[in-house]
Amino acid sequence: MGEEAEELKFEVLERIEDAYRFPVSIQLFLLFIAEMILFGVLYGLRVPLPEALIVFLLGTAILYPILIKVRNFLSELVAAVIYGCMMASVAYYLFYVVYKGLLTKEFWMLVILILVFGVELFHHMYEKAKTLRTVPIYTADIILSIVFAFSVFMFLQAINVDIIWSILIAIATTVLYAYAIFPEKPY
Amino acid sequence: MSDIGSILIYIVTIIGGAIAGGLYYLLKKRRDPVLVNILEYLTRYHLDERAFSIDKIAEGTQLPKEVVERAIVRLERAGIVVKTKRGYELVDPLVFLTPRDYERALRLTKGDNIIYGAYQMPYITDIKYVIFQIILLLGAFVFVLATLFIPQVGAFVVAKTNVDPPVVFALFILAIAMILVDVIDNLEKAWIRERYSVVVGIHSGVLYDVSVADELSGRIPRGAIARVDIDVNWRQKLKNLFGEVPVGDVKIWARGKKEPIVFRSVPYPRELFMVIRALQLGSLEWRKKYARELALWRGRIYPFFSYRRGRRRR
Repeated sequence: MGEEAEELKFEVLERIEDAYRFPVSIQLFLLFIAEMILFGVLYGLRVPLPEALIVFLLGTAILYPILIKVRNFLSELVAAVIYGCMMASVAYYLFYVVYKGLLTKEFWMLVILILVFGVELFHHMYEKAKTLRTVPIYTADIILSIVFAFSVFMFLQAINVDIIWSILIAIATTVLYAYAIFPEKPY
Repeated sequence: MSDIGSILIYIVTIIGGAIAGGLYYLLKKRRDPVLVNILEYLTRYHLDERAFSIDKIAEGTQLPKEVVERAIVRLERAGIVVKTKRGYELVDPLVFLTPRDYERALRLTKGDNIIYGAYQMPYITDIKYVIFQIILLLGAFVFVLATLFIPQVGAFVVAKTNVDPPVVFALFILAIAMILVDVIDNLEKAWIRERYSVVVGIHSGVLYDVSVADELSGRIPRGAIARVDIDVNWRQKLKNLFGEVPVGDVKIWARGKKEPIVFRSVPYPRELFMVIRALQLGSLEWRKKYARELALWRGRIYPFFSYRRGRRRR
């Protein structure tokens, strides 16, 4: 698929984008200020520590790609680490707090939530993944769509929906999910 | 949470971050020096003199013909070069059209050198469209907060859905809202794409679609361009600072016409302005300088800090 060529093409456009963005020092300053405000709010509201950590990570994961527009190895590595921390803590917390058994509707709802939230946050943190048309991205999207279809079907079965309706709804929602997560043109 | 649960969440968080960081490091593609060499050569010598053959590139880069052939096929798949009747041609870095529309533009300009091509995106910063997306996401988020902090809402959700705790159901709704916003965004882009395109050719001037399913019937010959200007409103400015693709309006006044032709929310408006200005002045030399800069920059292998020292706003 010419992945290096795709990378180079992205870099050309990113370089052109420099003129539209804040200077790097201002980007870092804004992120610092935003993180301080987030920390201050959590501390002021006396949010207990594990929950405060999750909210802080979630806030950072949302703010970082909006404020930091420099895209190089280091900035993307930081984004990947924030994403990994965020998803691990959210998944662990949700399943730890509400886990009631493997085949309950709550379990499948959480699986669907993690599948949607995980991909959307990943696209938010790493914009290239949203537009990069490479074999690993397509493979990952296909696997995720299959898992999503299975989860929706299991969820519908858990709430006693008729099997034919379950299949139809699972197919329809998976088409929407796949359409949302498959690579797209950014402009 | 219990003490063990509290401790475990920190460990899981650190492990998650380490795995994601490690995966990024391992999966990050390293530059192929052959590809970089060929791209540098192409941007240096084939920006204006566009058609080239594999033999010519092999001769110019001193690389074996088979290696060049493989690299050109990869570049073609990535949309950086295109195969035409005259041989391979370098697609200008400022062409954002789909391959099908690029071919259409080449056909309608009789093989002109297209130096800019993109779609107008009038809805991308439209206040109604943005508010609709925000309401959808914010509404779902407020529902999550309501199930957490308003007991009556939580009890209502449990009674109606039998989902306990109710926040799970609210989070599920939030997930559906996120997917819907993404789908609407994709549909909107698909609706715009291949409809209102703007193409600039060195000889043919500015061509644009005036209606749905148009074939670039709008035209401003290069000699008829009287004035050109960029207009970036506050929504576009915000999008440019914090969003993905920079956009802005570009206005062109044709000779003898009072009202300008406005291209709304085109990507990289500053570059379109420069292209049209260069066309108006009959000087496209700056593109060669720009291409050389791009080529030099492309030659670096993932520097830790890609911005230049003493970087100035251009």
